[in-house]
Amino acid sequence: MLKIDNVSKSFSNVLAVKNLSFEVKRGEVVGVVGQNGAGKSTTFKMILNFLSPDAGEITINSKKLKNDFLDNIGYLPEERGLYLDMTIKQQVLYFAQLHNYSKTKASKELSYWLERLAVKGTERTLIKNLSKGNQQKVQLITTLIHKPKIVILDEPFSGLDPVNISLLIKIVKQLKKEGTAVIFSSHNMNNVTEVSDKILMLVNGEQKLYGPVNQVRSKFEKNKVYLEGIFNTLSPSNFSGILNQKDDFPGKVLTFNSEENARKAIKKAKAEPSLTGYRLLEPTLDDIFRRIIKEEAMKNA
Amino acid sequence: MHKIFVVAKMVFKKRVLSPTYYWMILAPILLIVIGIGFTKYIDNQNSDHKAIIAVVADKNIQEALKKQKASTYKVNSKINTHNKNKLKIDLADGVVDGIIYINNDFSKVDYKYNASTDSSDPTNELKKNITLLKSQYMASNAGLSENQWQNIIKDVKVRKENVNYDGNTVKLNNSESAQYFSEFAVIIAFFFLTSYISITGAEIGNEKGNHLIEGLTAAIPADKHYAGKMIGIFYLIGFQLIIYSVLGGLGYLILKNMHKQFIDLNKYLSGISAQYIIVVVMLTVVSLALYIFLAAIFASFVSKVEDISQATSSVASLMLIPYFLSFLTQSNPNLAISKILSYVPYMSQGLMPVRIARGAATYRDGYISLLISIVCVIIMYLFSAKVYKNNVFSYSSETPVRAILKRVTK
Repeated sequence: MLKIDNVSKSFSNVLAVKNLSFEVKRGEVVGVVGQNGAGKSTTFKMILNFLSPDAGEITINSKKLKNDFLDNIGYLPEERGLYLDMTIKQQVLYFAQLHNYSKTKASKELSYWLERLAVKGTERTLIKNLSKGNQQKVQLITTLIHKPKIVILDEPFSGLDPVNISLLIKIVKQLKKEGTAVIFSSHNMNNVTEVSDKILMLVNGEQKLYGPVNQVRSKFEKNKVYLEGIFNTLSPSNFSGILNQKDDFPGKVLTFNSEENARKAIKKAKAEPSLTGYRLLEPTLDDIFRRIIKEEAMKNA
Repeated sequence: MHKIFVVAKMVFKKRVLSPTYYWMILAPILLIVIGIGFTKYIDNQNSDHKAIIAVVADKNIQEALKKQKASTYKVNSKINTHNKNKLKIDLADGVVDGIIYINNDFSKVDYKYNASTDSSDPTNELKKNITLLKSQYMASNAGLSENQWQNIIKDVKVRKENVNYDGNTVKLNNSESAQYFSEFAVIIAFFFLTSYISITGAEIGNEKGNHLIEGLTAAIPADKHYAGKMIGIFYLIGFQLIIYSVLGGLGYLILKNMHKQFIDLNKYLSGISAQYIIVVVMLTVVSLALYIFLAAIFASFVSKVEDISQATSSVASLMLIPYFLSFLTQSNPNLAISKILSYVPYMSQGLMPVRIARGAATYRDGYISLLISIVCVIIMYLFSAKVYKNNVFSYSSETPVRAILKRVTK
């Protein structure tokens, strides 16, 4: 559906995005991760045709990007912004009309969305009288009201409490089920893991990782081990190559300097009767992210 | 196209449903009504409070002065003017507001008045009336009859005809009225502009300052969004003009039989040609568009909501120049600066109408000036749309004026 092919963008000799290539198909969710200034928002702006790439091509359904496609895109910007003196209904209907969506249809569907997102307010509530979280939900409604085929969410989870994060994850999964292509950025790796089909990691404008989440994780060493039991005869310090240990009730997570040492630790733990549980852990996206950032920092040094 | 009009409708609806918009529309009318009412009240107060004066002079002079028509004073002939001490006491006690001393040949005229009196000041009228009496006295001494004296004091009539530099005559029956009309148009334009420059600044700057712009430009391209904003603002101007027309029409119907009591409109409106009105109105409307686009350019550089007023105040300052120059041009419409600036967009609406009214410029000059302004409007619209589009995502810690200067000097 959406294809970014070898796209680059610079601002006054500062490289914001370099040779970026990825794809988002119908019903697929791509999580974009990266540090601040990695190029995530710049990428989104190029998809939205706010900025033109210096090189490469962005296509939707194999057609070059044009302003006509805006009606099929829903965008939730990182910087939230609403008309504070409008009511919820006025705000949502305005954005619906700007996306060439019928005012009548939007009006009928609004109550569904208010209930779905558990917005504390009615259609006539002024935006300025809503809490920040509820304002964010209203902005999400303006993003989705016109049933876009592609949804771009820039840091959608920021500022939300855990209950609302779960709600948003459910919405994203529902969109995926309905065949909507979703791209979102987040600093919270758990959210990315939970809902994404593919992950794209940007570091200093460059694409470092891209692919299905499990595939990406499998490329990295499994250097963590979870152990459970009574550590009387065999303590974590008995394992070679251990970098650190962390309590993870009811057991501990041990991090090793290599997968080989981690596997040796599992073997040793199997032979220890006081240890009742042991498994090799898949690296989390958080771990992978940190590892890559560290490698980049060492490279640049 | 549909999206442009969605934006325009939103701009219009948002303002039209706001009470402050109606205050903005009615404020100039209220100002005029209060001004006229206050003037009338002062006039009435003055006419109700004629100064009561005693005349110390020859009996004939006393009688003659008493017979003359006066709106600011009344002669009290019952006062004993021979007893000077009693007179002083009467003045001090307020029995009379003033005492006028006139000697027999009018060579010495003194007026003493009570400073605490609330009556109108009759000095000018006394001066005029006593001068007439003096001229009559001197005419009589010279052996002239009453008729001969009347002929001497009658005003000479001067007929004026304007002829411009290329020999074509511009006939304006009432040049003074045309000038008043042009000044009225400049003042009305000034009121319009102060309001709409502020509205333009808010419409262009608020969305960027409140971070709404990204969500909006994901739905509608920046140049179309800008077009919608401008159309919405012109809808508001049109709506305001309709309200003024309706109020003007109603006012005319209510006051048409009464208007001479307040203001003699015929005196001011007669002699102004339709062509003159068209030129003045067109120049004013075009200048509104020019200033609005300029305000939009400044507002495009706003990064924070609090900078909007700073951005638009720069435009408001520029607007004062033609306003003041128009008064200068009234006294001398052929000043080099007036001649040149009457063709310069942004300035011409204040100067060309005055020059035409004074006969220093023709209607052809007016149409040339109008054409130049219309071309400038088109250029300014395209330029301002480009500036808006190029700055819609640029945020700076600098003030809008600094940001513009930086761009220009880059």
